[in-house]
Amino acid sequence: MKIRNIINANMPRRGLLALALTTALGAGTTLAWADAITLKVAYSADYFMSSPDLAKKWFGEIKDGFEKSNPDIKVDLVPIQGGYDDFLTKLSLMYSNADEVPDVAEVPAPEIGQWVASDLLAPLDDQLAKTDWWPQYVEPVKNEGTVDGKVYGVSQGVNTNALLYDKTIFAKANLPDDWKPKTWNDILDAARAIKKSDPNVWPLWLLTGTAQGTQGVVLGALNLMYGSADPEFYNEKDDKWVVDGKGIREVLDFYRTAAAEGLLAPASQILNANGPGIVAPYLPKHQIGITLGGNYVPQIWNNVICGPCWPEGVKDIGIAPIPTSQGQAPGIATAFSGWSLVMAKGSAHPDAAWKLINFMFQKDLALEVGNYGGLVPPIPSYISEKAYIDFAPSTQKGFADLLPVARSAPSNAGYKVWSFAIAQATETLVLHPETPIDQAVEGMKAYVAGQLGDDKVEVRK
Amino acid sequence: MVELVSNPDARTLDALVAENGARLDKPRFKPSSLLLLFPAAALLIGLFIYPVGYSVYLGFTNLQLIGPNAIHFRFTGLQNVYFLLSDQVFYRSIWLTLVFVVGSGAVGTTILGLVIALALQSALTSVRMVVSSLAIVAWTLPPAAIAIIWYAATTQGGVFPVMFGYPHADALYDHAMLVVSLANTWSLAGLAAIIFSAALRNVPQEMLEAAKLEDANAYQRLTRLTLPILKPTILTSALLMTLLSFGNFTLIYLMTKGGPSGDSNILPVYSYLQGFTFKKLGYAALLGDVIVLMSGALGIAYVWLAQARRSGRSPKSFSV
Repeated sequence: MKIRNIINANMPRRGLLALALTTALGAGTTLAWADAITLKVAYSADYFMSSPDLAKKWFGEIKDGFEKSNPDIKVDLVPIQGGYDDFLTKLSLMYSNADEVPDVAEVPAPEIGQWVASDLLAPLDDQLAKTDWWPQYVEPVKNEGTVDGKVYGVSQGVNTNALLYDKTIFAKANLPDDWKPKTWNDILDAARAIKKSDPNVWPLWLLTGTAQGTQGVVLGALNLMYGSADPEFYNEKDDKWVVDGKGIREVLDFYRTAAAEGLLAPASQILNANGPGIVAPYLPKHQIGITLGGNYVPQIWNNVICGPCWPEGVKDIGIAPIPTSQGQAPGIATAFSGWSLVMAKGSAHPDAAWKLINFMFQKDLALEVGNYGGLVPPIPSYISEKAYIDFAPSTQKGFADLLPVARSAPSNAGYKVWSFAIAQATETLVLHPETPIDQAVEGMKAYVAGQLGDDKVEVRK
Repeated sequence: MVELVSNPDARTLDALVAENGARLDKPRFKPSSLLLLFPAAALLIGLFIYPVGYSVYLGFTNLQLIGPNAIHFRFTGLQNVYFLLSDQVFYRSIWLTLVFVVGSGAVGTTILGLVIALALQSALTSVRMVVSSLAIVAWTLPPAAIAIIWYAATTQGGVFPVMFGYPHADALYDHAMLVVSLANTWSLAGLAAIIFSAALRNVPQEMLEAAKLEDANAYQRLTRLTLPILKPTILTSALLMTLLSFGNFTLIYLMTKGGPSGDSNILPVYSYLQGFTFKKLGYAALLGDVIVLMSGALGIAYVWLAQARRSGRSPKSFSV
């Protein structure tokens, strides 16, 4: 191309074009300068809250309300789709990309330890000390978000688990209306009675299997583990994971006995990758006798979530705390896991981000998200609020009362491996109940030792 | 005595080259071609060699997805390799991968595709159109749809348990590898059937008619004539299906997530488990390198096979 061709009679047109382009680019940059503060908020679009519409609704309210009271700050919502593990994977990838780091994120609390170890979160102690709602939190929930003495996650609430039993099925099986099992054998006896009275009903619903990821264990086997004879499966002092002991054998034996006698719901249901979510529609159909489920299950039948709407649920479903294996102290047990809000260390606007977090914890919004997320509120006074109780009148208080004895899952990296190992062991026993317990325990030991090293496993007699 | 008369117009080779340019019947190299190859080379390096190379490097580090080594990770030499060599799950995974890609990919689809193609050869046009459309639909379905269909069909109350008279059986969980292999074969058989239908049309009809005249029955015509002529196609198709099955992570991940007790834990699924559930990205990258090596070996076999056919020599002699 020769220079002659560029400089010719078309100069004015080309000059105008060049000018227009430069102005457009310049204007673009100027606009970006004016809109300086944008906060990114990442949250689970369809896993955490009881329905995807509720997540959209609550975060929409946050965005509108906050932008109204803070006109110079824009809130950019980043919904992340997928189940528990998929959501965490995507969030982890977001944090590792400097352009996409969310200023505020709603994360499951057991993961906070790992995020802190990656140096990704900002401690919030100074800001929390100035609020009036943080001191009201109960200690176990405060500790859930605390790592090495500093608070990184502010809990929106927690899930506790208990036994939900169908009173109509119980009546048919001549079981008491106000059932309060004292030992695990009581649970099995009730399941046996149900099976005898109606073979078409699934006597016991208890999650197992590796397809559900880490959450499946927290909503299933971990509850039994905390009620077993030896609930300490992680030796914190020596940093070792217990793979054989009285407690673990009791848990495995429970699964094995239940499976061998045909007391469990079908494998395709309890091993299903969406196990936690698919149980709620079965109870209105009177398909399950006893469900080991979380506090979010009965809420699904109310008029807000309606999945399905089941007003009779209030009187047809009773709640009983999970007993300890032989009735030993404290008599009841549950695992809890909650969801918290965290702030990124690399956030460009930490003050604005804190303002947003503080906004999210106003009483009305906090109660609302607690209900939408199926959580027990972390502040004791909220538990007696009508908004909380009315959400599932027969069971909300029962689940909240479990908070003092509830224990959360450990937050270090090895837990994922231990959790996978026990999920695999219980899965094997459910699918092949003729497997000897020794073999299942050996499998657990081999797996954890194989993944974490022989020096990280402990065998207790 | 014959006198060799030298052609007065004959010139030396160099003189010819100087006048007409280089010989066109032999490979030759021009430096200016490097410039024209540059865009393709840039794409290849940027989109393939660099990512694979980086992944190979990551395989020897202790990178984590989240955790102390997420931001500050370091090169750990052969530590991951030692872990790999002592990992029993890895060995089982290699075996399961071979069973899956060879058993279901190569053997399964070949047999099913051949059966369909042979049966359709002499079918009514309308039947042929319907059956081949169904086979193609099965092939073009997204893996997620295939996973859901087969999940529903093989768990309690599904088509297969009911058909065999055990409506409460969970075939998927009792025989995880078998079910996912069947699903994979079902989804790829359409492609194999198309390939074989085309190849069957190239079987010379005169040979088959001659065989019929020689009183060869259908079985003999099939095994002594058709199959040997089809052998190169069968081998190529089998290798292609093997490579496609290798990449069928979605199907197994959605159906069993690696299966009860790792019964369907093929290498890609195990790599995902290590990387995104246990957060050990470094080790997952090393497993990915093993996958690359295995696929590379299969790819080389495929190229060798294709070249052997093109140069006229078939890799195996066939008897007619």
